[in-house]
Amino acid sequence: MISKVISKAFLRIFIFLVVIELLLRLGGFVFLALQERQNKILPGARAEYRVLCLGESTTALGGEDSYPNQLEKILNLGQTQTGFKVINKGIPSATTTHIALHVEEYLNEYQPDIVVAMLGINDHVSPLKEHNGLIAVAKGFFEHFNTYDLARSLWLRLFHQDINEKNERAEKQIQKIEVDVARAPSAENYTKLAGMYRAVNKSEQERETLLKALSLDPNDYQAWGYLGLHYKRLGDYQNAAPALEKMVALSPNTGDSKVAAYAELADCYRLWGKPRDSERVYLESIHFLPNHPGAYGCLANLYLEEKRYDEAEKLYEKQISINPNAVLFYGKLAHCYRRHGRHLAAERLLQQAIKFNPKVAVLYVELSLCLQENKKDREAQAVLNQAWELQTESSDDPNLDNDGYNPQTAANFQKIKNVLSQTKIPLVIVQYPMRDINPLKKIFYPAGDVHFVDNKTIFEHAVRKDGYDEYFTDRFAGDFGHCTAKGNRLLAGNIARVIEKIFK
Amino acid sequence: MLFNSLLFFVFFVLVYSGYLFLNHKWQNRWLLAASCIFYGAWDWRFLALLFVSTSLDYIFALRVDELKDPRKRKAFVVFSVVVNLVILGFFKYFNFFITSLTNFFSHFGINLPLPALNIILPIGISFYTFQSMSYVIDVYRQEIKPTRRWADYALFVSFFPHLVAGPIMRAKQLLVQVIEPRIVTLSKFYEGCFLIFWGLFEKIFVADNLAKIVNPIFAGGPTYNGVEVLVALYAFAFQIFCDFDGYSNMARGLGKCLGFEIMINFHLPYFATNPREFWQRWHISLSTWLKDYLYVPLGGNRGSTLLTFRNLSVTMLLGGLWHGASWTFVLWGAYHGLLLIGHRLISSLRAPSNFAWPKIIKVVFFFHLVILGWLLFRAQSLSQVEQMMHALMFNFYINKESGFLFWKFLAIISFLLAVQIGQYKTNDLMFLYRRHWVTKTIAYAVMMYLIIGWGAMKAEEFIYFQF
Repeated sequence: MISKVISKAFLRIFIFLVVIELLLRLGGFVFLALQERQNKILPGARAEYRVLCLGESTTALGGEDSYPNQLEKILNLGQTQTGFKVINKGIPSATTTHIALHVEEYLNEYQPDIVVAMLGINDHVSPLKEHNGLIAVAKGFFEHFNTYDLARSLWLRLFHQDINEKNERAEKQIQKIEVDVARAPSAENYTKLAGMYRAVNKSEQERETLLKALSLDPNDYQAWGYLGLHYKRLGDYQNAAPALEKMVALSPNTGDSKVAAYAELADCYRLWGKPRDSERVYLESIHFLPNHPGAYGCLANLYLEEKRYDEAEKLYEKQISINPNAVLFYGKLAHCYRRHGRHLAAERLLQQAIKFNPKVAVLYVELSLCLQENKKDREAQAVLNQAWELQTESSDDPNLDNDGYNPQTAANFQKIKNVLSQTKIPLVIVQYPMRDINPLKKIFYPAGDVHFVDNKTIFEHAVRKDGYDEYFTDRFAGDFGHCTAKGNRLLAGNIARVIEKIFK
Repeated sequence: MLFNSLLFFVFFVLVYSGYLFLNHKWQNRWLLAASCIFYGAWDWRFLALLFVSTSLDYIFALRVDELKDPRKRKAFVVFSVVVNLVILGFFKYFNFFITSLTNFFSHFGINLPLPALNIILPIGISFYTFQSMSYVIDVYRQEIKPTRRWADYALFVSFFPHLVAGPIMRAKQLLVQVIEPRIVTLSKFYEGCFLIFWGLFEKIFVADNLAKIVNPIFAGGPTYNGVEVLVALYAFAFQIFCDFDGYSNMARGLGKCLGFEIMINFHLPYFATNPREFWQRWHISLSTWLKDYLYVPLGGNRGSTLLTFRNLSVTMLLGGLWHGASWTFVLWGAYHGLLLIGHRLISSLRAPSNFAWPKIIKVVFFFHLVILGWLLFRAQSLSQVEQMMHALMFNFYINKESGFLFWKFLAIISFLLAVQIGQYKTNDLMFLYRRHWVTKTIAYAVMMYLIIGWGAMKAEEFIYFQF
């Protein structure tokens, strides 16, 4: 009797799950078929620019209001002759592996003039998980079902509300400090308060408070520094550079802080698109403290970006000779060796670096690429697996310089980039809303014909102003989710600006 | 605390697990405490009003029962009704009254310096005031004996499943269940869970998705063509039904889990073929309340035809006004009053014949009369009604957008419609619940998929909370 009841219950649950899975698959199938129909509506003439948007559900969903759709509208706004056609190739729940595998196919099919990609959020699923024991295998098995994704997103949607609470607590703390500062106004206190504002992304208040601090003490180098960094974060380099110059001029001549000031200033010029100024500042820094390791590597990075491999190589070697612990530069140096065709030297160097610090996943990725070039495919895969294991073993390890990207994702990104650079199609890499662009820049380093769209500051600012729900419909990724029409509009506007710059 | 929120789920699980372990006396106290928390979660100040209103009617009922002189009894019950209406009127209609008066006088160039108060509308006030009003009247009519236990009476009024949006229950139905011990059985629990699930489906998938069609069109702004307006009206008809029926089903389900039987509030209203039948199927707890405490005391249909018509119009006008302080609601009530009068006229004038329209034609035709009423109900202003009527009559054409909107509407209601047809054919609201277990499991999976995959996940407020 009891066994009958239990078996019936199990049967019920099984049927229940199967039906949901089938519906999810059917829904996905219908969705993609409709999307494809829309994408195939291309005018006969080849007189216009085609923009291919790669991505997952954040690209695909939204119908009329999806970001590719809105991007097309924005791009065609002031256009009279050369129109833009934006193709939405967002595939819900796609991983970078899937897209890297099919990217050539898409290029042949749609013949785009430019590719926009916002990818990576579904990469928690690793193709290498078979290596990690029975539980991982079981997890991997479930991860293949759409029902699993659905349950996971529901879970996040319902239970991931603590971010708001954290903000509320910070808010209260700030109110307290505001009172204190009002009682004893000094440049130092204002600078401290500004730091609190920064922590909760209250950008405007931060700036105002810093300006107040500077009105009290125009020689407060810290306030100048924070003000410069504030403008730099907003991408306002015109204002950022003078403030940072002030900081460099005013900061005391004590080693580290001065070098850090130089580095920020130089980085600001680099981002501004003034590499010569950036170079000048780095050289000043080196001149100021020749034995400090800070500037060599950064200047080398700059040269690497400009493909001045000889100079970069020398500087990296200098950097490593001063500070042999900074293993990341080994990777960069190896990159230079590879560019010079010294593949074996690169391989040896990377192996040396790994021996030195076996916990840095990026080195494995670099080594794997190197081995691939040396036609050692099997070894390359093994090294990549090692990187992945490292990642799962100690994902909390602060030494791990993967910035939240698993090695497979990094490798997939590299592949997409290589395919596009072969066909000479510019690639626009879009970071998700609320997320930091820098880890992505690292993956794509050196940038070449890759352009970046940063959606952190602009979204954080918008969310702070109007509330999370104005911009996102859920929280599937924890700190952000699928965009509302308004969110997609913001995203599209941000991307359009970069695309317009490229076609100018 | 909304039924469709996570917070309520946690709340109910806690309340329910405590409830199962208590004896009858403590069960009642436990539920009363839970109801206070439930209501206080909106605004704790509302609790004070609920307390005052409940206690007054509790005392009034005892007093009415004690009095022997019929004239005094009558005077006292009138007094109690007036007190209730004053409380309701103050919180709900004061500002409406003031602005209407000011507008009226400003037509004649007179500026009345009347103050507008910043009153918040306590949620559910129309529902619980009507319920406790009917209690005093029932005691006066000697249909029931008043209870001497305040806590029992307070639970009867504030019982959280039905507190904020009905059904408006009578003491005969609900107070009895508070006083007598209740039995929770497994089958009642299953039925309760089914009703909650079905209610959630109606609310989260159907109503909230339809709201996305309805709201932009009623928000004004660009002019929509007639087809779009029509689809919006269809959508609103189902939105308001699913919103309110969903709430009522959840209330019934929660009640069942706790061992209570809460009345059916909607019985497939859109299958009605005439206005009379519609009001026997729509918001049954309100329409029977209005019938018993307004229409019948006014004389009902016992007088001349003209008097009957007067009674019908008064009942429907006030019924409209019950929904809120706005002229569009009054107009909606008047419209339904006219429909009822028209229906009476036609059926009394028509010579008996063998010809009858097929039922489906009658249903579809009457449904369109109902949605005209919904236009009055939903419109922001009278000028919007005019604008939309204009679009319906002179700007009626199908284009790509309106066609798409229609298919979207149909996709959203298709599952609901299929179930409703089943309910209608079998004359059983639990139609789905009584299917074979395989069919049922598949249907549950489909509903779950629609709720999670396509439902509006932000807990949206129920429309009827504002009334």
